[in-house]
Amino acid sequence: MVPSVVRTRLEKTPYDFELGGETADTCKRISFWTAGFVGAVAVVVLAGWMLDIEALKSVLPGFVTMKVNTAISLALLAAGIMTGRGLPARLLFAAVPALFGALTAVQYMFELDLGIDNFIIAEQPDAAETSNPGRMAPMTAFNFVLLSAALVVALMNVKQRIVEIFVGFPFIVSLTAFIGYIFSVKQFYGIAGYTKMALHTSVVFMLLCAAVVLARPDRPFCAVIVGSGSGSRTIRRLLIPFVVVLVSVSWLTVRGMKLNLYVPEFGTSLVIISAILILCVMFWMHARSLNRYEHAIRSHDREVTQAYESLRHSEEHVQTLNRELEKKLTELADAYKELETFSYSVSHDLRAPVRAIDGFSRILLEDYAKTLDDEGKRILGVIVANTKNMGQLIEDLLEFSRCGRQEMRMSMVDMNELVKDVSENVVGANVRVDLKKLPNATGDYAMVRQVVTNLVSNAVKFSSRNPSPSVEIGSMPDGPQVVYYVKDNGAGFDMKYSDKLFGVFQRLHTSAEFEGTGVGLAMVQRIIQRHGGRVWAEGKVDCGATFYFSLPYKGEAHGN
Amino acid sequence: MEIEILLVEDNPADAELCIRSLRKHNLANNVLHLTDGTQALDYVYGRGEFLGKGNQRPSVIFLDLKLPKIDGLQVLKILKTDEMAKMIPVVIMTSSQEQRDIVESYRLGVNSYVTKPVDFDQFAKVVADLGMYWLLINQRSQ
Repeated sequence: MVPSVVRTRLEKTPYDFELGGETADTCKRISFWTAGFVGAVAVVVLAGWMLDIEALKSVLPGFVTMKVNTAISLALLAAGIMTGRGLPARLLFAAVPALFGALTAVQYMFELDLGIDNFIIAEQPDAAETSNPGRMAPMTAFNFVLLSAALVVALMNVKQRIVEIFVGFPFIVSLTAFIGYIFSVKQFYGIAGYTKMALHTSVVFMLLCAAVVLARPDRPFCAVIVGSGSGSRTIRRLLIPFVVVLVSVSWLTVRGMKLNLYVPEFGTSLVIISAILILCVMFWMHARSLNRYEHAIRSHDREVTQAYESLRHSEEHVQTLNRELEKKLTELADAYKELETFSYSVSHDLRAPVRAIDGFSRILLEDYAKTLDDEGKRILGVIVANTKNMGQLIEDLLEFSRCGRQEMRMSMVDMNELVKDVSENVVGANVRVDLKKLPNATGDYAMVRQVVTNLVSNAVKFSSRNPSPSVEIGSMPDGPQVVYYVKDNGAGFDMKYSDKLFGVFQRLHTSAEFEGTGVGLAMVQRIIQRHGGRVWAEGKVDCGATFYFSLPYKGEAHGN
Repeated sequence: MEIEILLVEDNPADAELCIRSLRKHNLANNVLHLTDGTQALDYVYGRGEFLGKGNQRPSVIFLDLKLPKIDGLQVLKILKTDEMAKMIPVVIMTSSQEQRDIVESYRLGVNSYVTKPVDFDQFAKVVADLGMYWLLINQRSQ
């Protein structure tokens, strides 16, 4: 059972599985040199013909010679393989061998003599194993026709198995002839009484077939053999030993039969048994490696599935968390709004009674001044003072909740103008003001003004003790936002209380040191928060403080 | 007695403080204090408990927004849609600073909108200023 992930892949993967560029180049190089070798052999044989050296023409005495036409055709085919892709060139190189082959076949079939056999160099009429002097074997002719076609078609991008067929037949024919020579079976290298195929012709044909196949390593047939996949490795590892072993065993068996050591049936059976044994071992080894491979894939598949499952769970989990987070955020926003509404209505309703207490205490002080002694007046004074305090707190609280509830009207804010204006109103003459050039911001003008006013007032207030107070206002970019800062050289604060700075009514100094109810910074934070920015502060006791706030940036002012 | 200031205020403490401030500046001689909107309208149109007194035209009406029975804005609307009554200046004096109330009041034609300060001193000053302005500076129609 092929695991599912593999099956789907099988359908999509081409079988030239992982054919590296290096492999392809090596194949093409082998093809080139093999063809070259074939060409060289052909040239040597031709030299043999020209110089009349028997050994070159027929390898072993008494063996059939490689004919002139054969040698020429082989040389041309080899050249065709070596030159590469150009179709006209290949056609040229393929034309002559094809012609020789076809004409020779015609001569054989119709018992004609077209005069092509001996027209270059003539052969002796008593040449060994030759029916017609100078004429190539029928099978050789057949091979040339097919191989020429193969050469032409090979380097084109034909999808069908034409090339393999055109190469396959010649290869089988040549292999048969070669085996015939090994086992001395004449029928294998010659049909009836016609010219036999020469020994070197058969070898060289096989080499040519290999060269054609290797010239196109990307074609499936070649790719499976030369590829890096386990199938390719198996073929390479097992096929050659198989062939060698089988041929050797067969050869020994035939020798034995020839020497009459045993009857032919024994020999045949021996070969068959050997073949079965070898094949069984091969198949077993192959099966084992395939199993291992599949097992590896299967466990990998399992791991992947598991990883995917856990990823999906994580995703679901994240989504759930996100949903909960959104819910919490909505709840938080609602709670905040409720708080603001509540503080508003409470403060609002508290005003009238506070006013009454304040007013009537004062009336008492005025109208009954004569009847009150000093202590009485003092006590009333305390009541009035505290009522004033309460009134201020209520006003501050009202203002604070208003800045959270008011509708925002966003527009472009000219920060330079705004800051200059506020400074003129808020900063006294004795304070040195350093205004840097500020980029425009996007925001609700009134609210931003409130922020600047609060921060600058604070800066002035807290540097009032410094003999030469100074305030610096500047900015720095921060991506899509701009960060503005207000820096003073006043009382500063201890950084470890920095998170209390922006709380409502939170103060880091007593009213004796600096007046104020502590809602100014809370307002700044709320406003900037509503603008989608951040507020933070840095400070050091007695070394001043810098308050930063960020606002969304908008480009230059339109037109004027 | 010609009433110059009609004070419509339901909170007795606020009313007392207001009248006291006016008195300090001699503006309280002709102040009528009513505690709800219906009474105020009855007075202006000379009906109900004010039947027989004819239409009254105070120099200014100080109107609180939070009133029992009918709401201050309702009273304002009725006054400002009446041909005769619309000529009486109305000053809304309230604790509310809500934009919603301010916008609606002006839309209905209020002459002035004032927020009552928490601090008594400031409150007294505001009342005195209002009194001075609407009685002495502002020209009323006859």
